[in-house]
Amino acid sequence: MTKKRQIQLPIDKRLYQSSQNKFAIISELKRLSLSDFRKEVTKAYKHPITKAFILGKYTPKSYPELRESRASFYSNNLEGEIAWVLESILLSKNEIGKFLQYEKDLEKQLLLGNNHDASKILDKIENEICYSYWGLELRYCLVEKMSGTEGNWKFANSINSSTTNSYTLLFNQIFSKKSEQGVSCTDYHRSLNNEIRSASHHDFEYLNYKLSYYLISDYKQYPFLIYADSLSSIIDRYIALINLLVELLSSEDESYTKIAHMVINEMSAIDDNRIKRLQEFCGIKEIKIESIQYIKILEQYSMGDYEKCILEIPNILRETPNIVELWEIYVKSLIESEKQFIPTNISEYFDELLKKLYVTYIIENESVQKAEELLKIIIAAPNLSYAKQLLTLISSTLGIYSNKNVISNNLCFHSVFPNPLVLMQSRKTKCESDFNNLTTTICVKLIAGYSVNENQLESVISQFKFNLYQLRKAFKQKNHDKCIQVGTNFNLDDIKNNIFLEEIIFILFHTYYSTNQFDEAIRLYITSYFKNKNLVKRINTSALIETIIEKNYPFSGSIDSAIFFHLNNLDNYHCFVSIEMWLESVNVRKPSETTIPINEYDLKKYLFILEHGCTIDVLEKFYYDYDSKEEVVGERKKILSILIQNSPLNAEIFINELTAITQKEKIQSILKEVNSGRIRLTASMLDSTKEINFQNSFQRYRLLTKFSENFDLESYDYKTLLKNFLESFVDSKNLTSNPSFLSFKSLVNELIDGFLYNKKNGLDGELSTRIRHGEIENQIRSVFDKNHLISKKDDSGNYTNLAYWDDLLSSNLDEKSKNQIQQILKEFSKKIDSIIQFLVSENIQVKSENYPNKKNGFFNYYFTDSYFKLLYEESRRTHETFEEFVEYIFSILKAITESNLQNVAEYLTNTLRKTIDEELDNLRKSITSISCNLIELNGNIIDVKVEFQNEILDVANWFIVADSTIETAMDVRTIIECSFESSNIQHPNTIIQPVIIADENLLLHNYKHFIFILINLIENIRHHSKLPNDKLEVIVTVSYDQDILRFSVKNNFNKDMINTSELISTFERIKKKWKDDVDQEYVNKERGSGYEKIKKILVYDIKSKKNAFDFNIDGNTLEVIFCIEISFNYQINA
Amino acid sequence: MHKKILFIEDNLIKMEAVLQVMQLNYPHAEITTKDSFRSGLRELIANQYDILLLDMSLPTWDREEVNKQEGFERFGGETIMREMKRKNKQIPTIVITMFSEFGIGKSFIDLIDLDKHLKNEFNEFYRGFVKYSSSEKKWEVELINAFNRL
Repeated sequence: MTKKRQIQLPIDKRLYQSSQNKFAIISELKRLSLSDFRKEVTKAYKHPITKAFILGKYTPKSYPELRESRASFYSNNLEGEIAWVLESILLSKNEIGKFLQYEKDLEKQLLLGNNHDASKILDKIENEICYSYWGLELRYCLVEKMSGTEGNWKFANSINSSTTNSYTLLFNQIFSKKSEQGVSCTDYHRSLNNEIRSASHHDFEYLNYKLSYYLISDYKQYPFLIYADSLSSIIDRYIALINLLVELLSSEDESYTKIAHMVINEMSAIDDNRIKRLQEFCGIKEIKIESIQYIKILEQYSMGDYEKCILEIPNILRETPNIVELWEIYVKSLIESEKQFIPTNISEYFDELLKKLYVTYIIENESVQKAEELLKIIIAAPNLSYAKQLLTLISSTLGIYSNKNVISNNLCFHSVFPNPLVLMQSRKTKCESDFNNLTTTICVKLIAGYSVNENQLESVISQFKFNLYQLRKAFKQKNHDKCIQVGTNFNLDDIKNNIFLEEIIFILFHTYYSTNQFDEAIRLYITSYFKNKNLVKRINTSALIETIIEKNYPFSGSIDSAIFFHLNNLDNYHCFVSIEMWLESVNVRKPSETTIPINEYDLKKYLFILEHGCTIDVLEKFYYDYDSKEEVVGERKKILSILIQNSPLNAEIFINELTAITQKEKIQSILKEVNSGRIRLTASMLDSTKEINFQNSFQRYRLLTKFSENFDLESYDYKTLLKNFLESFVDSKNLTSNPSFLSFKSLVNELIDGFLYNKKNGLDGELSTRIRHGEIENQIRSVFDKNHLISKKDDSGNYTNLAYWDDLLSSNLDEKSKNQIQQILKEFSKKIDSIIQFLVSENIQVKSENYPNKKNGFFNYYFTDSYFKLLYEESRRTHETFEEFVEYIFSILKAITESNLQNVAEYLTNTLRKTIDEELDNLRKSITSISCNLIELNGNIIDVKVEFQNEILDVANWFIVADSTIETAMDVRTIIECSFESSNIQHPNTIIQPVIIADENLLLHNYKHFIFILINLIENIRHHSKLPNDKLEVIVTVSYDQDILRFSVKNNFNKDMINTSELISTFERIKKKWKDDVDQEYVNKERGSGYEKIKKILVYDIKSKKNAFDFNIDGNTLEVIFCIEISFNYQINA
Repeated sequence: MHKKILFIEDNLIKMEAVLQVMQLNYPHAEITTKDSFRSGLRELIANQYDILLLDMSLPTWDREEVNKQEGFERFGGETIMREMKRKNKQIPTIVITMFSEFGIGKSFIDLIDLDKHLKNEFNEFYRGFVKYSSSEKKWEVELINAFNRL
């Protein structure tokens, strides 16, 4: 790993005598091993410049001074790079010592929520020691807490305007954003990934290492990770070295642990708990009891005395809040005692933090959300020890892990006092006898596989915990038989503590998987999921699924496996396979043919898989059972009917889906008839915006917009910053821009990406499958082919002779001329092919800011800054809601696409046609120059000119939008049909077929509300007409005139069973009451004829200010009439 | 060589070109064609064939059943092979494609990588690909060679 270099003269002499660059001579030391570096550098210190070079600008006195050190060359030698940083730390022991004192206080005040005091400590660090990125990051955390997001932005602005250092600008921007209260962790990760994804692997790893450690599970570029921080302040260098030592020690690579061991030895004079813990880990220092109070709590917890833990922990934490192990024991003790959260009253902030941890640990619905909130606290100050430890505690809930166990090891490495768990992590650790004899230590040793007196342990801890530790031990040792033996002995239904229950399920699942017991693994997963879905969140199922697929589905089909595949987001094909296997196991072919279970649990699973698993997309994969799309849709309708009947609480959702399907069918049939275009644009292309993250980003953009109106903020485009950062400090002036604008730009670019590249119906996919995929090439080439004007390439890529012309040419020409003609045709073929090739691979392509490669792409979504600014100006003034914003962007994208399509069509019919025409003319000329007697060949050229014109017009027609506004509104007839269909599916044995008299050109927005009104009326007819369905006659009439929509529903009734005068008085009452306000209480009750509900829909949902109700009863017919003024709500289709 | 061959291909020009080559070189071969993913798969599973010639991207439904706007399986050929494996209907298969790149965004893959992937997944019966081009003749030789190797 280390490269020794022969040095002719001792380094001190070379420094004095050589005319060489002294900095280069000293930097060269980085090529040496750690011990050689130390030896050589001691000699080099004889020259005073050595120290100055090694320290660089190690104590910057302001943020602009950060990273003003001169950059040494990058050696890629881990020992040398570490030695360089270590040397500067050893030279700055005083500064480090002072920093460590302040750091402890700062950590304490932060945890107690004393932000003002914490801020003062940070001031001291910056004034008395130095400024640092470590400090800048914390400054943002504090500013955000004390002055809110606006304060944060102002601070960011002040830094941005005071420095031109690219590294500082980039980190400043990111620190500011991640501290913002309104930016969730998910927002932060998405935005960070979006901004840095273009960085090289090297830089990408470094940026993640610094900014979101847990997003990468395996870091490898160790020399670079330490080198990159070697220019920063001494505080940053120290933190970087500690972090790297943790990496190296966690690695199982002996060469790394050896280096770490040497470095820790060198650092032993520094009084830092982290160094002590690292020393204990390596066995350099024996573990001893450092705090009786702390140990007492550990022991009480191990022996099950939870009450004492609950009582005593707050007293300890009041003084030393950063003992994170006690946070865990406190909340676990509460859970073990089946208590709700009890505040410690240490401080409001601290209790909030503990409560979040408590909710995380109870593993219920809010657990993940609370863990994410804790992660937000962690990323605000990721280098403080409590943050590192807290990450360990929540990592399993969030599915965070590191390949080398760095995250779990951090619990011990950053502990205030020695944690016995270190014995699980290192076999080198040694303990003093008092520590060794602790019950907690013995428990840990049992799990770690040390030989301990199990009988004695069993007598002092609970049987449950003893068994649990046995299970952990067996799992750690990969003793599968023992795992199953111990694990299956637990009665999972009796375990009240979800932390342990989850752990047992986790271990059993993985054991079943490791022993190929797939059915058992799946059964356990599904049973647990239906008990509490959070219990299986941590289980990583990908390995099991991969094995199952690779081994060709070696499990018995069951409803559990079908649900398992669905829950694990397998693609539609695999979901189909699992459902088909389930159906085969119960001897049916289609989901709707299955028998409805009686048992409640089985029914729950059954309805779940029907609702979520048997979707149209999955049913489409039933290759052997449905002959058409219509049959697939029909099957889904049957399934929805089953769901409506068996899951009345969710009936509305299913009815909604049913109406959506009906509408879609209608749209499909309309599309088939009216559109020849191949490109579809629908608002669903921006479906990804439904994700909450987008909405959060929008909120941030709105806030920034409002804020920017009052303050002249400066911000930087991330992509430019990253570019500068990677290119090493290019002048960054003139990059300033409004952060609200940049936030808008980033949001719009993400929306554009979704529009263009989403898997389901992104424009690029549409172009790929509907146009680029061979069709256009074949279509164009076929005209030339038919007329024998285009030849093919042989194996070597040369165009062959067109054999068709051989005989004809022979009769008219000599051999030389014949060859010349063939050569001309070959050249022509080459030209035509290259035109087609360019059209397909370069022109009919999409380009955007994130995917700019296709420079000649016709589908240009690369917006210039000026265009963005135009959009921004428009948007910031008018779009208050997220929906308005998305609608606006979609309308822009749609307009651009339509314009692009028009351009393509114009290009094809004009430019391309002319180009081909010219080529044909040239061909003709070239041929005529050889001979004027080639009549057939010339005739074919003329034919091609005409045929090509026709063909290209057909092709141009592909570039038309196939769908426009239909999705947003529905014609009134479809509304009526949907309503009856919804009702009929609920009453499959009494189907009503209405007569519909309606203007088909009348389109209604908010059609769902009208459907609900009609469903109410249809239900009335069913219940009150007293006629069998085959005798029922229903007429629905809808008309529109002068802003009044009039619709009536007329039906016959059984005159013998209904008292007409009573019926009249009932409707008179309804009519009279119609003028009153809506009786909300009445509406909410499930009774009556539903007219109050109809009125409520009209008033609140449709927002009709004026509406009237009337009726006619004539003989055996009843007609109810509604007149609604809804001028804003309808549209007449021109 | 009397072999029963199933050819699943939606592009009529390509289909005709391939059939021409096959008929010329293997006049005794009995070739059945299907022009959609679904009809092709059903035919394959329901009947006995010796060889499968397969396009990679296919429309979900037959031409006459729906217009082209509905359903397209970008990796339909691969799914057919998955079903062959699952249903244990493994006959020698040659993929004939016009494209050197497939999919978009994250699912993007070029022909070389797709070939490696298919070899890895369906080693038992996948016999490689032929890159068809209406502007070249090379594929004809490649197809014949691939066929002769079976």
